[in-house]
This record gives sequence, structure tokens and C-alpha cells, in this order.
Amino acid sequence: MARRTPALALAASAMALAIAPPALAKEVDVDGRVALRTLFSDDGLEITERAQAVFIAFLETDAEVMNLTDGGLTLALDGTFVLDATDTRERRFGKTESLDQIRQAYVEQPDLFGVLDVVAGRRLIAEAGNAWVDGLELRLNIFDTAVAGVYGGLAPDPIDYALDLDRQATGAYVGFRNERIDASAAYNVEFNTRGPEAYRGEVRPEPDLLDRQFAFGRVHLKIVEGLYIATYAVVDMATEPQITTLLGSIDYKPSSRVELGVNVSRYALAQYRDEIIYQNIVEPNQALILGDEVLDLSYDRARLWVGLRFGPRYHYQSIEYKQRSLDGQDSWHYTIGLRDDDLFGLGTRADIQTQLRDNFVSDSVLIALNLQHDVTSKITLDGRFTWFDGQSVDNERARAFDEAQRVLIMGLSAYWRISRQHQVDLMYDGIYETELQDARNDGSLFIHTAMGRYNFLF
Amino acid sequence: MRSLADARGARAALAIAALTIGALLLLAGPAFGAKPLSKVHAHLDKKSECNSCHTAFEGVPQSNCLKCHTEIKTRLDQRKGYHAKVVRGDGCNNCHREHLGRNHDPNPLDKRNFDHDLTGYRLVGGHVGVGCRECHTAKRKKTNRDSYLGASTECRACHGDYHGDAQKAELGDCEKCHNAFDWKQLNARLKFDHQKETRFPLTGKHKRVACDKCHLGKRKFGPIEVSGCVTCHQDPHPPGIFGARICEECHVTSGWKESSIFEHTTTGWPLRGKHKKARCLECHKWERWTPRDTDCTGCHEDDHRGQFGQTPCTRCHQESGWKGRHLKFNHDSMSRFPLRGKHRKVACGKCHQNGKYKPLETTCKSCHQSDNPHGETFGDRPCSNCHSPVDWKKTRFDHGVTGFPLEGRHIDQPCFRCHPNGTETEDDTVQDCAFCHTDVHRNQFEGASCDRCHRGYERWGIELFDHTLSRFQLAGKHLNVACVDCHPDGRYRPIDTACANCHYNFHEPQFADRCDSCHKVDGWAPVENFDHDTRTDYKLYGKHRDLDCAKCHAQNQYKGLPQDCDGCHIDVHTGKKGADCARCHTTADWSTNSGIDHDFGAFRLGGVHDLLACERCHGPDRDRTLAGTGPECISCHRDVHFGSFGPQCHECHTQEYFLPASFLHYETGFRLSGAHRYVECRDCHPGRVFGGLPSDCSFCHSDTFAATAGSPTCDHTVCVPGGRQNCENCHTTVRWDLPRPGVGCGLCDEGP
Repeated sequence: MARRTPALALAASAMALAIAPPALAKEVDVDGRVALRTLFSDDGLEITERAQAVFIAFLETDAEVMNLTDGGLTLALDGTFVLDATDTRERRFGKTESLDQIRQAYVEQPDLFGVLDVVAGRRLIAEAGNAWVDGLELRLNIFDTAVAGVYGGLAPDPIDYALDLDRQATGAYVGFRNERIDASAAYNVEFNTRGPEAYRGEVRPEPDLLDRQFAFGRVHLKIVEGLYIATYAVVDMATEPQITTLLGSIDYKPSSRVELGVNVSRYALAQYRDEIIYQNIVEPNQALILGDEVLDLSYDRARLWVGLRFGPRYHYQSIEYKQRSLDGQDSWHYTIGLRDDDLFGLGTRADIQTQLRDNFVSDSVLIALNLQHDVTSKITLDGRFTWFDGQSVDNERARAFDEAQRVLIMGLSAYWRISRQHQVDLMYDGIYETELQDARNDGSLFIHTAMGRYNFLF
Repeated sequence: MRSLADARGARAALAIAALTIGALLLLAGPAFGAKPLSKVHAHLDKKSECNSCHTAFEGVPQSNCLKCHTEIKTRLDQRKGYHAKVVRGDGCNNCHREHLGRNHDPNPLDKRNFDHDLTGYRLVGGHVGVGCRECHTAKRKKTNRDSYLGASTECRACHGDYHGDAQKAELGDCEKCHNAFDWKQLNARLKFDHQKETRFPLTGKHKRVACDKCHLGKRKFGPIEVSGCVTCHQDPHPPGIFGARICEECHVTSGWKESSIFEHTTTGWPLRGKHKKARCLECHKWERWTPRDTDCTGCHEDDHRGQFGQTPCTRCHQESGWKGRHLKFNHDSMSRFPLRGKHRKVACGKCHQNGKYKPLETTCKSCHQSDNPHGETFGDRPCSNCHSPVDWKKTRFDHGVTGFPLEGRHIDQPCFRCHPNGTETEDDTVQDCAFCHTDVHRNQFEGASCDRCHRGYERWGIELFDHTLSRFQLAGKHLNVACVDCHPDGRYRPIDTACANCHYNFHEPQFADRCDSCHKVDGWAPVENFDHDTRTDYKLYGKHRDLDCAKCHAQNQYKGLPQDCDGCHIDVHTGKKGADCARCHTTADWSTNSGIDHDFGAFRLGGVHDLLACERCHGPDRDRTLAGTGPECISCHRDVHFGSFGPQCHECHTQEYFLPASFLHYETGFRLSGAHRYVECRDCHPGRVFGGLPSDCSFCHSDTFAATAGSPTCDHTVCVPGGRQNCENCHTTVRWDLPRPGVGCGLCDEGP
């Protein structure tokens, strides 16, 4: 809790500023929202003492206060805070992670000397591949089309998002953008100065301080109107260069009725996490199993999709192929759907889709129907129905648990826009699960989940 | 071996012999089994004549046929005619079959389906359906049978010389004028050129005359001996009336009744003016074309009934026109009454009624007796003492002699305004305004002379009234307001000078008084005097500055209005896009492209994204137009799973709620069952690493396994075969401490 105090203090001050703009200058502009979200879930099955209902409340803030001064000083907060009414977190073992998340909280002074932005606080820097830092960022704006920046400070704890004095991060980035191209490149370095006590007496495996370093590159390109190319790449270099993230997509919209897309990607676990988490941090039982094994998991994926628009209807199909490096298994995933924004002329929005999956170790079919209707100009009802049927066709590391399953999901939501500042959402989902071949459970399970949210919009 | 070879040789010899005999029979077959020749070749139906047609091993070559049918050979050699196109070196007997009996006709002519095009003469129009023999009339010399050779393609060969002397006229080929489709219908585009090929070029209406109108009879297309128009036209005039004159002196081919080209000057009486347009018979008679009397009266009647005696008509009239501006008569110099002023515009008949021109009186009364409004007031004094022909109503009377000289507007007033009875006033000594003018002010200004406001006689209007003399100074738009707008019903005093006395206070009770705090007399619109930026807490930008006040302040409401956009604008998004319209819209231009680019493909922004400020993705200046172009969430979001789930965030998350809303753990290959349902994700996925973890029980429960060491109940390290890899043999996911039904500790009982 002590480690979270600075962030909470920052959040509290940001909140105070956000909800008290009239006390400031007349030019102050507040934008964003504050939301109170609650979640209640219960399966009604008293088979263990752990089977208890869960009730959690979240306070979410995503707001900016701009033009605090004549110079345009801006304050921003993007975070989530948890009120756990049922103390659900006490049931976990191992290291406690925090659900309190402060994704961004910073103060920005833009346009110093007309070209320089100075940002202090917790920043998620998009130009640097969403690099994360608690510190200072200097951004130089060049000719309105180019930007160059450097940043440095503490690196937030990647597990519980807390302020961590033992971790530091620094980096630099450049960016260029106009109407046709939006590109950026960055280099990020993170250090870890945590002492041996942090590793429960074990010797830290990496003697040097380098914890992670990666290069980042992103190019979004508009070839012509309707033809877009987007690339996104992260190369981790803490141990040896490895492409841990690679995205490439071509989206083509030759007319307002036809949309085509090709997407390839590669996703891999960052190497540095393998050693820290699975050899030193995790509970001994897990380390016992893994031993010196270094997880080398990557997904390579290719996806082709096409969308055809006929008036209020939108028909889409996609086929996707995935392969994972862990065991060489591959997967096919086919989706076909139809979206109608004016079903039968009633103004109801409908989406029906079917998914066929030849997954890594299972086959499944999913049929989903979603209906949304504006009952009045302020109330929208959303109903959904999902039917899932699947069965295992292989085992996972020579281990097969439940072989087949049928799931029925029925949901109903109501979105009430009381006014343009106040919104209330209510949602209920009932999940009915049937295990076909596992006699170890007491039949089917009916899980009820209700969520509520109140949004205040600035 | 030898006998076998002999047998093979004998069978080969037999085969060859059989083939040879068959071939001979095939060649000699016709000779042995043929029927008699047809009648036309009956003279050859003898054994001695076989070789006339047949040649050994060649059958019936064409050359043998052509020895007799020389006329066909000639046409084949000339590459003409039907056979030249049809026959390609084949034998004649391909078509002309023989040895089929005496009654067989070797000429397979199918008259109904014969393709005449192959003869080189295509049958079209009227030729189609004509019987063959109507054109092919020739007979063969030897046999006197019908022949189809030698028919000429010339039209005359069948149709003869219809036109008789056409040869002499060198009319040329029939096709110049005719075609096979309709003989009587001449070609639309005649190839015959009458202009060049005859001595009589066609002009005028002759071009449209049908040929047979001139070319009469059977010899009609022979040369016509043209001896003047009368060759074709009949002379309608009485005989000899024009002597030796020929028709062309008067008439032209463009039209018989067209204006004559006759030169009238040759008669000594040239036609001028309107005489040029007169038709001949208006002056001449059909039966008597000789010249008439050249005097005007020879043709024209005297409308003046002899009032002008022997005066020639031409003194007043001329040939260019009888009336109006063509009249040469000058009233000023040629009469006793020169026309002056308005008299010049009076029509003649107004004074010269019934065509009477002389004698007439020249006094005013002779015409204006009925116009005299004065009765006997002025006695015998001539009208011209006061009036002039320039304008009857503008008199030359010097009003000064009455003691009341006219000034200002009085000068322009007609006399009857003051002298309504057309006479002198009853008491011309009274000169007070009220004598003529009504006091519209109803004694509000009693005692004050009229000229205090209505100065002099220049203008009666109040415009010249100096309002500074009153308690209310006129300025701005008040200067242009008509007096009656503020002084209705002629009420001038007493009047309250407050704005509300004249203007309705639309703003009451919002603004009870002090109109001039917003409005000025220079313009009623408050913008003239009202600074919205400083006097309200709602500054106007962009297009708001150009709006009429009433656009926002509808129903005259100026206070207590909401300042949000939806106070005036309808939220077409019904709140789905959040509270701040300015995220997407500006006051400079309401239109925005957000929302269009965000519906790109199967993924379109919604949910919480709708509530985000544009700047969150597109930068503070919204100039990152390509931000989020890639369909993957990572373009904007940080991947909290560190890559262990891949880029398809929407498979688990929705835009409405970011909590995993649709994630099915079963899809991972490890179905959550029993107590696993109630543990949090991070319990098994520390560090937010979700992918690649083993599904073995011992991955999470290894410490429990180890903790049983030394347990008197069940020391797993000793009792469990296979160790940590076979937990499910005894345990279920429902409760770890209860063994699977039917499982006992037999293993333990057996002991290590």
C-alpha cells in the first residue's frame, strides 16, 4: 500500500482539479469522464467454501484538465481504483498484484518557446511503443510535422503497476507525420537495481543491471484514399535480438461497399520476463516444475478478411491461421457474420456471426447474435445470445482435462443516457455451462454476473 | 517350324487374293450392275460408248463430260457463271448422277431452293419469285430443251426499250433511274443529272415537277423540242394581248404567281413607293392590260369629296404613303391655324370631324366650348389671356394681381384646388391658411401659426420641422421614421419620450428597462451595441458570431439559457458520443469526419471509445490523422499481457467493458472446472503471463504434493505412482482434499 501512496496522491490531486474547474481560470477546459463500476458474480453452487459471490467496485478516471494556466498547462489522469467489497483478493496465493492501475498521470506544459512540450509524471509514450515511465519527458515539435523526444525516470512495476524505485527507464524517439504517413521510431532501455533480497535470497541471474531494451518502429501509411498500410514492430535485445512483436496489415477499401484486409503478426513473450518471473519470483512450486526452462512462446498469425456493405447491412468474413512455437501446433479460425443497422426497418441493430475454430487442441463452433435497439432517444437495450460447442481433439502437454463443453451465454444490457453528462449502464450475463464428459462436476453450471456503471462526462 | 511358316504364307496369299478381287469388283461394279442411262444420254448407253464417259481407274473425269458440253467448258474456262463458282475440280457426276434409269433426270435443279447468287446475278426485289423461264427463254440448239445459259443481265434483255428513243437520248443504263425493288419508283437518288445531261437545266419549281408532267407519252424521254413555256404551259392571257412578248419577261420558274419581273419603267410610268407592292390586277384589268389614266384619280377615290377642288393630290400626298408621316401637308404654313403646343399631338379628326377641312373657325371655343369650366365668369375675354396651347392647365394668369401672389407649392397647385368651382373666391381678401387647409392637429397647437412647422410655402410636409425644438432629439434611425409612427392619430402633445412609449418591450420581465443599454437608435439589433463576449459569460466564436440572436435566444429568452451545445443543437447521437460536442465539432464548421474513418471494416469504434476525446489518439492538435489506422488495439493501448495472448484483444474484451467479457478458458486447452472457477487469473498466471503455461496440476499444486511428505495419511512422495504427473488419478477439481470416488488408498496399503 505504501508503494501506491504517491500514485493515489497524484490521482487525488488530479481528481480534485478535474471536479473543481470553476475555481480556476475561465479558460480551463475539462474533458473525459469519471466512472463508478460495480461487478457482482455468483454461480449459486456451494461446492466449496471458496464458491462465494464476488462483489467488486471500480472507480475509473480518464480525464484531462487543459489550459490550467494561460500557457496551456494540462493535467491528465487515466486510472482505475478498486473497492473490493468481498475481499476477493485475499483468496489468492503468491505475489499480490494490484488492481489499482494508474496508467497515466501527468502534468504537461506545452509549447514552451513555441516548440517544446515538457511532461512530468507517469506517461505512456505512444511514439516509443507505449514505453512506460514515471519521470520526465521532453518533446520537441519541429515544423508541425516532426517530433523528437527523450524521456527518463522510474519504470513502473510491470506486475502491480506501482511506483518502483528499483527500476529505471530511459529512451528517445522521433516521429514524423503528415496526411499520408505517420511514423515513429524509438529506443528504450530499462534497468533493474533491485537487490538480492528481492529475490528471496537467491542469486540474481543477471549480474548486470540491464533488464530490458528494445527498439521500436511504427509506420502508418496512406497510399491512396482507402488503401492503408500499418506496421508495428518491437525488437527486444536484452539477451539476443528477437522480434517480439510484429504487426503488418493492409486495409483496402476500394469503394464504400467493399473492404479488404490482410494482416500478419508475430507475438512473442519478452525474454527478460522468463528468467525473472519463472526462476526467481514465482512460487517455488512453479519454479520447481519449470526449472531452467525458458519460455519461448510466440504466435505467428495471418488473417484475411473481407467486408461488403449493402445499405444498412454489412457482411464480413475472415479466415485466420495461427501457429505457436511452443509445440508447433497450428490453428484455423473462420468467421462469417452479418451486421444490419436497421433490422426489418425497425431501427434495431443486429449482428449475427458464426465462428468455426480448429484450435490448437480443440474444435469448436460458436454462434453469436447481438441485438441493440434504441427504445427511446435516451435508453438503449442490448441483448445477446451466444452458443458455443467444443471438444478437445488433442492434449496439452500430455494432459487432457475436460473433453467437451457446451456453453450458452445470454446477456441483456440497458444503457440509459440520463443526460449528456450522466449515463447509467446495467448489464447482466448468464452463462450456462455443460460439461459433456466430465463426471467429476455436479452437472451444469449457471453463472450469473451483473455489472453496473455510472459515467460522469465532463 | 517349317510347316508353321508355310501355313502363315498360305494365309497371307489368300488374304492378298481376297483384297485384290474385292478391289476389282469395286471398280468394275458400275459396269456390271448399273442401270440404263437417262434419256439425254441414251445415245451413249451402249458398251462401245462406255469410254466416252469412263476412263479406267479414273471413273468419270470432268474432261470427258466437257468434250460434249462445250458451252459449259467455255464458261468454266472464262471463270464465269454458276459452274465456275460451284465446281472445284470435282467430277460432274457428283451432281449430275447417271445410270439411275432412263427416266432419271441428271440435272438436279431445285428451282425452289436454287441459290441464284452463285450465278453472279443476285435476285432482289421484284426479281425474286419470277419464274425461271421468264428470263431464261433460250433453248438448246441440239435438243431444244430449256437452257439456262446465255441470259443477259441487261435490263433491256427482258424489259425491252420501254422508252423507245431512249437510246437516242442517251439516257444510259436503266439502273440510273430504276431499281429491281419497284420498277415504277425511281431511285431516291437519281443518277440521271438533268442539269448536265440535257439542254434544259431544271430551275425553280421545275426541280420538283414529276418527270411525266413534261415527258408525256411513250416517247416521253426522247429529246423534247422546247419552244418556250407554252410547250408545256397553256397561255391564260387573252390571245395577242401582249403581242410578241414572251412569258419570261414577266414570269420566273421560281413560281408562276411570283412577283413579275416585268420592268414597268418601259411603260413610261415607273412604279415607286407603295405602288411597287401593288398587285398588277389592282391597276390593270385582265382583259384590258393597256395603260390607264396616270392621274391619281385614275385609281384612287377622292376622300375629300371635292373640298380641295383642282388641287392635285400630290400637294399633300405622296407615293411612299397616303397618311401619317408620309403626308406632305404642313398645317403651319399651308393653313390659317398653325399648330402649337398640345395641338400638334391632336389627331386630325378631333378638329376636322367628319372629314371637314374647310371652312373651319380658329377660335378656342370652336373646339373647347364644352371644356369651359368658368361659365360666364370671364365674359368674352379670350381664353388665351390665361391659357396657352402648351398646357391648358398651366395658366399665364398673374395671381399677383389678386393680392395673393403664389409661392412655393402654391405655384404648382392647379387652380381648382383653391377655386373648386372654377370661379374666383368668394372673398379673395382672406389669406389665412385655414381658409384652404384643414387643421389636422385638432387645435393641439392653438395659437401657433402654421408656418412654425410648415415653413413658408415651399413644402407642406413636416420633414422640415426642427425636432430640436421639442423635448426629444431625433437621431439615428429615428430620423427616417415617419411622423405618424410616433405620432399616431395626429397626436403631437403631450407625449412620453421613453422607448417603451413607442416600442414594445419583448424582453419583459427579463429586462424591465434601460433599452438603451443594449440598443442604439442607430440600429435596433442589439449586436450593434452589445458585446456578447464581455457582457456575458458565453463568448461567441466561429459561426456563432454570424447568427441572429433569435437563433439561440428563441422565444425571446435571453437569461438562464444553458451554455452546452445541446442547449441549442439537437444531439443527433443521443448522448452516445459523450457530453462534449467540441471533441469532434467546432464552431467554425459543424461538419466532422470523425465517425466515418472509424467505421473501417469489421471493427468500428464504440463503447468507451465514443466517450474519449479525439486528442487522446489524434494528438493535442488532432493532426495525427492516421493514428489507429492499424486494426490492432496495440496501436494505441499497452499490452498488459506482454504478448502472451496475441493482438486480437476483441476476442476477450469489448469496447463497452474492458473486463474479459467473452473469454472462454476452454479455448486454451485447459478447461476451468470445479474450484478453478473461483481463483483469480493471476493465481495461476503470475506476472500477467498467460500463454504457454503447462496444464499439469503440479504446476500450481506442487507444494501441496511436497507437503504430504511424512504424512501418516498419505505420503505422496512415497505412495503416488508417477509422482506429480498423475494427480488426477485420485483428485478432482471440485475439492482437492476429497479423493475421486472409488479411489482408495490401496497403494498405501500395499506399502512401499
